Amino acid sequence: MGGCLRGLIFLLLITFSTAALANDRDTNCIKGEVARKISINFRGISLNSTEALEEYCEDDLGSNQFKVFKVIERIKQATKLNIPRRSEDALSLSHIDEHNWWHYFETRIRKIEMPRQGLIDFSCGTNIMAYVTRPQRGTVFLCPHFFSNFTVNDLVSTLIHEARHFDDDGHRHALCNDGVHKGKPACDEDIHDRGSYAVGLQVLVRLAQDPENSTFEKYELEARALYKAHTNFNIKPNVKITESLILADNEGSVFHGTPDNLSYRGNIGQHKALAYTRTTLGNSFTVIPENNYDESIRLLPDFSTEISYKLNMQKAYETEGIHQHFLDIDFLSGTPAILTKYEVISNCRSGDIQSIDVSDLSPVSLINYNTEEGSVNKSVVLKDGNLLDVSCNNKTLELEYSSYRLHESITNFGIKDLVSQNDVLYGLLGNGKIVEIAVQGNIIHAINNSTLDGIWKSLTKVERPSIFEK
Amino acid sequence: MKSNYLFIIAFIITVTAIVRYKANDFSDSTKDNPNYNQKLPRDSIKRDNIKTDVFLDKTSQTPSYQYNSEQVYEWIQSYPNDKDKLLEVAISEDPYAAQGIEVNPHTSDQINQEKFGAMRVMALQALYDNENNKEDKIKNLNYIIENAKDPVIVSIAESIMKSSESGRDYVEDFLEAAGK
Repeated sequence: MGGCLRGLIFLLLITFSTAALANDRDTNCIKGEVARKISINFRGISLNSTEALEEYCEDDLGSNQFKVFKVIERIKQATKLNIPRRSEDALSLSHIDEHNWWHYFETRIRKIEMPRQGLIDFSCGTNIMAYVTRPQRGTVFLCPHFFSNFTVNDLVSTLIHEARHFDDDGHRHALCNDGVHKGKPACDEDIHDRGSYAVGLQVLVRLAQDPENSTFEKYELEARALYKAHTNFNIKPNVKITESLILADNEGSVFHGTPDNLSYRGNIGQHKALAYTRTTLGNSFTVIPENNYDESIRLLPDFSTEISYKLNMQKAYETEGIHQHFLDIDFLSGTPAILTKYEVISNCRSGDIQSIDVSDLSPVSLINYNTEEGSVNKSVVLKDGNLLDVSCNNKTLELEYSSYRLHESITNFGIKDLVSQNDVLYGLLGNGKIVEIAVQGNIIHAINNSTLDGIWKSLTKVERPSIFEK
Repeated sequence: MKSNYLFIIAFIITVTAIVRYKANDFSDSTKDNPNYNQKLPRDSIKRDNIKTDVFLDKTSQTPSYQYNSEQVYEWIQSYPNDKDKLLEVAISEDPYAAQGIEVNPHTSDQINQEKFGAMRVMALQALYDNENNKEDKIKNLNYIIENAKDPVIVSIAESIMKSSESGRDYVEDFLEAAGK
């Protein structure tokens, strides 16, 4: 009996071990279909086998080739990320459809030239990773150092950088004016030229968004992109912020532009609130429908595409009657914050839904405003004219509230939305009118009727940072 | 006899290098890439990155750096317990510069140097993001600007400072602009 039990345990152990190994193999291997596509697209690398395998691992391809396949696979994966983005976005480099890094890469690189055993490639010099030459367009030459101890992410950036040299005039590098590479051809003159270093930087940030990467890898990739921005350009890249307003009326007609120049953009239907979303997954608008049963939706910035959108706190949204008691939505530390008649709700990026009870305070709306000290406050406007500041604690990721602030003059209407536009503060009042606002100390008051005539349902500020635009 | 062999070997190596340099790979790849149709000015047909000062007489040297990124990440996670260590990382010198190792473009050294730099950026960011009080954020930035031995870190810290004066988060804006 004991022998049988030992045998059974042994069999179970073997089964678990095999399963674990199989899983390990899965994550480290490349699907056969993907590997075949890669081998067809690029000359110079092959599957080493006439038999079509379900997956290809290091043993099947050899360690160097396997690494190249993994790098190209990552470029394909980066392409698949379903991140909403605007077609006219700043990062649209002239030759890159950023939806599709794969397309970009495969239409420029046709051959991967692996290092040949016994053949010295003088262009590889000491420590060169990879290079291209203009006469051999479409061929990227990999040097032995490409195969040293680098991650797949490191190598993706290298290959995309090289691919960029096949565009336009070759985007040849400039001598660095200063910094760690002073006097060496390791710079592009200006990030606006959109050369190889700009593309390499862009792909690092894009890879950081890849859920395949751990949080640590994400931080490291983003930090590398920042370091690169301040290292590889003679003119240090500036972040330019373009401000604009989005206004929607009671019928759902949306207008976009500056106070002096608004243009019609579409109709989003009757809604309770419209909020501009700046999250790590890209920019969009969240619309809370007027009725109490439709799901909230996310719109891309051009309002042309509509995606069903489940808020992070959707569960609470569905089960706790938030629909009926909904008042406003805004964004707090990159995550939605919802105001109901009773609570402020957010997860503060912690994954846990948190709330602050405001049921005794008669809340009206959520607003953002810039303080005199230069920080941006998020506040709940209360019916009695006070503001309750709310914030996410960066360290503990807990939802917190602080002081009350007074405002006057507009108490009768309350502020529904408050936005600044080129140093002018605009407030959307409860009666649908937009007025210019002044903040002095803790006092917020209306000073003028604005040029934004009409009765509005929502007023939203859009801030578009860019580094590739002049 | 021996010198003949050496001559033949040298000849083969030279010819191989020349053939490889001159080889033209246009033959069967022009159809798929619209850019292949572009005419290139004659003077632009040069090697992209050939270095006259980087040849096989030098050996690879990776400098030692007293920090590693996983460790720095752990310190960030336990903020503010290891704040002093993060300040130390943020102001530390680029190990290549410290050890007098020349870094050439397109090399593994360049990537390593960038990764070492990323560690300092991670520390810098943590010292800004993880402070709740704006005064403490600014205090940390000032300390880094005054003491950092890597000019790149000073440049990034100054950009963060400048943005914070207008109520903006430089890193957040930069990342959104660069990749979103």
